[in-house]
Amino acid sequence: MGRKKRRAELPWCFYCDREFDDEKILQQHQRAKHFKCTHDRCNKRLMTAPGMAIHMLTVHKIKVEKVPNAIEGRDNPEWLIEGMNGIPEGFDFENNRALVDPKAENVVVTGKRPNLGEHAPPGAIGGWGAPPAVGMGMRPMMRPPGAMGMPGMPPPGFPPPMMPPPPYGMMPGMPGMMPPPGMMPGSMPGMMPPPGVAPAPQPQPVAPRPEQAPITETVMVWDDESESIEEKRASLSKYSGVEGRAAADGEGETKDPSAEGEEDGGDAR
Amino acid sequence: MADLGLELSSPPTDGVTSLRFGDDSGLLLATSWDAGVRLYDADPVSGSSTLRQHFTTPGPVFDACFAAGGDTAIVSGGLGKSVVRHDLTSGADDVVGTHGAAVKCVEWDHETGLILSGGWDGRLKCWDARLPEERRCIADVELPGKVYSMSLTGSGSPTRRLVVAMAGRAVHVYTPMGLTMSGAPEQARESPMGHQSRCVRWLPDGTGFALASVEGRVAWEYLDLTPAAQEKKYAFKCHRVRDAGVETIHPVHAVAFHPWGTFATGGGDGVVNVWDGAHKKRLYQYPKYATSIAALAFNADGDKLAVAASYVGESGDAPAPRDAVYVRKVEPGEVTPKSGVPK
Repeated sequence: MGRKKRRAELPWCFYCDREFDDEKILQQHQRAKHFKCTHDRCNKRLMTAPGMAIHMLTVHKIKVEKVPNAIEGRDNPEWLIEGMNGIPEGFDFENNRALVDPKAENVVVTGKRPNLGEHAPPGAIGGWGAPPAVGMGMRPMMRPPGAMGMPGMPPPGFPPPMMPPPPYGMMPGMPGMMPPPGMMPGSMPGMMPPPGVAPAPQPQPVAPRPEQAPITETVMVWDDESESIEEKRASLSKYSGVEGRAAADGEGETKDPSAEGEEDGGDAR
Repeated sequence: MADLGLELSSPPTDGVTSLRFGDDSGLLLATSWDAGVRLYDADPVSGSSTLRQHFTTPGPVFDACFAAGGDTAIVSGGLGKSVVRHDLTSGADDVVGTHGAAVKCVEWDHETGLILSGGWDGRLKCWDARLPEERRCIADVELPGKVYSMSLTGSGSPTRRLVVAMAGRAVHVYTPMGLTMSGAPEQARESPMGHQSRCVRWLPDGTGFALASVEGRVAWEYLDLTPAAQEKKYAFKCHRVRDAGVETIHPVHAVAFHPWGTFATGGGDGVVNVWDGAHKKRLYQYPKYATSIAALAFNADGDKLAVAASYVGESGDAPAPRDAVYVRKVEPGEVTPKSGVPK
C-alpha cells in the first residue's frame, strides 16, 4: 500500500503529512514548524533541517536529535528535505521508517543536489535522477532536477551549505541602519572560534564570502603590531620637542621580545 | 545635515585622546595631543557649551579622570611621563609621580581614593596622593607589555577590579587587594583576537568587559572563568567599510558603556555604533563623522554621549579635518537593551 490517493495532487509535508495548496506554502510551513531554531530567544527559520541543525549547533551549541513537530521516524535532522524535494528514496510511510539505512544510504542520496546526480555514487539507490521506486506510493517526485524550485528560489537542497556564510560576512560595519538578516540573535556575525585558537594566523577577513560584492582585497588601516598608533604619532617631530626622552624610551621598549616577537610571526600575511 | 550633536566651542586644537564625564558634576573632561586637559560644561538640549577650565601639562596628554569626591580634582597622564593632579578649586597642579615612559592611562578608585596609572614603560603603578611624596607609590607592578588601555569597574559593580590591555595582546585583571599586596594579577589572559588591543572597558556590572582591537573587531569577555560562562564569550567584526570589493578594516579606537549595559564603539571609519552585547545585536548607528572617532563617553545618567571626531593617526601624519568634540543627547531607543531597561 502506498500513501493515500488524495496525496497524489497536492504537495504535502514529509515531516507531518499535512497537505498544502502549493509548494511555496509547504516550504513556509516547513520553515515555521520544522526548520525553526528551537532556542527560546532565537526562532531563526532555516531553509532545511540540516541547516537548522548546523545553526543550532554552531550558534547555540544545541545538538538537534529530532526535527521538531515531526512524525516519529520521519524526524531525522540529517535528511535534506525541502518542500517535496529530498524525501528519502524508499521511505516506508506505513511504518515511518526508511527502508534503507538512513545513516548510510539515504543521507548520501538525498543530500545531493538534483543536478549533481552524476556525482552520486554509482551504486547509490534511488537518487534524484532515478525513477521512483515502484510500488512505494511515492509522490510524483521524479520531476526533472531542480524543477521544483520556483524561479526565485535557491536551488533546492543547496541552502545548508549556503546558509551560514552570509550572516557571518554581512556585518555591522556595513552601511544602513537596519541590522542585516544575519543579525538575528543567535547568529552573531563575525563569531570567532574559541579563544584557544587565539594566536592563529590572519583570521577570516581574507576568505571570500559568497555575497553581493565579493571582497577581492582587504586593507587593514593599522597593521603594525610592534607599536600602537599613539607610539607612532609620538615619534613625529612636532611632538619631539615636547618629550624627546619619551620617544627614546619608546625605542627601547619596542625591542621587548615577549611583547612583539610572537605578534610578528603570527601576523605574517 | 546629519545630526552629529552639539559641537563644543573652544575644542582641543590637536588630536583628542580621551573623554570622560564626571559622575558628580556631569562635566566633560577631554585630553588631547595639544598638551591640554580641558573641562567642559555641555548641554545638547539647550545647545550651550562652555570651556570651564583648561590645564596645560608638559606634553601631549593621553588620559585623565576625576580624582576626588564631587569632581573637585582631576588626574592626568601623558607623554610627559608624569601623573599630574589638578585641583579644580585652587587651580594648583601637583605631580603625583612618574613613569619611565609615557603614561597611557589613569584611573581613580573612589572607594580607596587611590590613583592607578599604566604606562609605556610596562608598569602599573598605584598612588596615594595624600601621602608624602616619597611614600606615595604604594604599588609598582611590572607588566608583560606596554599599557594600551585600562578600565576600572564603576559604581554599578559590587567589586572593584582593574582590567589592563597591553602590547602583545596580554590582558590582566587586578583586584585592589592583589595589586597593592602582591602585585599579582587575579587573571592573566590573552586577547581572543589576533591583533593589537586598542581599548578595553568593563561592563557596568563588572561581570565582563569589551575589548576592541585595531583590526575592526570587538571581543565580549566574561570575568567568570567557569566553562559555562566562558562558552558565552564571542567576538564580532565591526567598523569595516566595503567599497567595490575592497574591504577597509579600521581600528576600533573607543568603547563606552551605557549605564544600561549596552555599549558604543567608535572606529577609524568615523562611525559610532551602539550594541547590545548580551543579545549580540546592533541597536543603533549614528550618522558618520568626518574623521576617526578617537574617544567616546556616556555620562552617569546615560542621556549624553560625548564623541571625539578627531584624527588619531592610524593612516600616518596626514592632513585631517579639524578636531571636534560633540555631545549628543541620547534617546532611550538608541541604547535600550533588548531585555529592557535594567532595574
